[in-house]
Amino acid sequence: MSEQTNPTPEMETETAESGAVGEVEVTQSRPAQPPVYVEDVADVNEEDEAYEEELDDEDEEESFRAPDQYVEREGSGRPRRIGSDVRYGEIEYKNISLLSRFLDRRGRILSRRKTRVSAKVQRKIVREIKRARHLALLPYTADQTRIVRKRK
Amino acid sequence: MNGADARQYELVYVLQPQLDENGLNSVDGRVCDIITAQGGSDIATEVWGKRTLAYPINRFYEGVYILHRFQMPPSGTAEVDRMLRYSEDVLRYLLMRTDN
Repeated sequence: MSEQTNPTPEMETETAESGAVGEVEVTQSRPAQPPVYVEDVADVNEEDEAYEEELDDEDEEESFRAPDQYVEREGSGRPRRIGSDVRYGEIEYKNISLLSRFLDRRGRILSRRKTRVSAKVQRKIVREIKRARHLALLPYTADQTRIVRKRK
Repeated sequence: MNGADARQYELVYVLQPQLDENGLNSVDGRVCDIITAQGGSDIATEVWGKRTLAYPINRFYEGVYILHRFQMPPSGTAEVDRMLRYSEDVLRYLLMRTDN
């Protein structure tokens, strides 16, 4: 139920919001819940609507989108070299903020065509992303419920 | 031969979030005991604490992350592996060699 699929800096705030969403769904498995349950539900409904709008916005954009500060733009406005400032030693499964730049919105690993990094660096990135996925630091796929809701 | 060619390892594991302080410490202690029993040394521990998982594992949405760095002869990995694989409280683990 996590929303860590967006490789954007808003990730942090988004996760914080979705914490409330997760909490409600988790209640069966965690018996000790504070009694503010009813309020929580109201909040969640509002947030759900916010998500819908956000998803609509995203639909209009092209599928590949990297956070602005990571993208150097040429005259044509085409994003290039997300990984131009990446040092080989920094690529580690622990460095989630760095690795999530190389994922698209659905959690897929970007191709070398899009990342424009060397073969050596790309191999390392892929290896470390897969390690991070195993440890549930990064998602394998975007949250299924969100995708289903979007198709509706 | 053991001890002479000890290697540098890094171990991360994710424990289920409902464990209390004692539970955490006992798992942690067991792991360290096994590492030492297998000839490991210089165990450094980093606790990342409770984090939200990127996807639910066994209906858990959070996990407690613990990292160990240590030296151990390669023969010991099997035993460490076995212990982590068979303990129910460990949701995920990753044991890696870091010295090459």
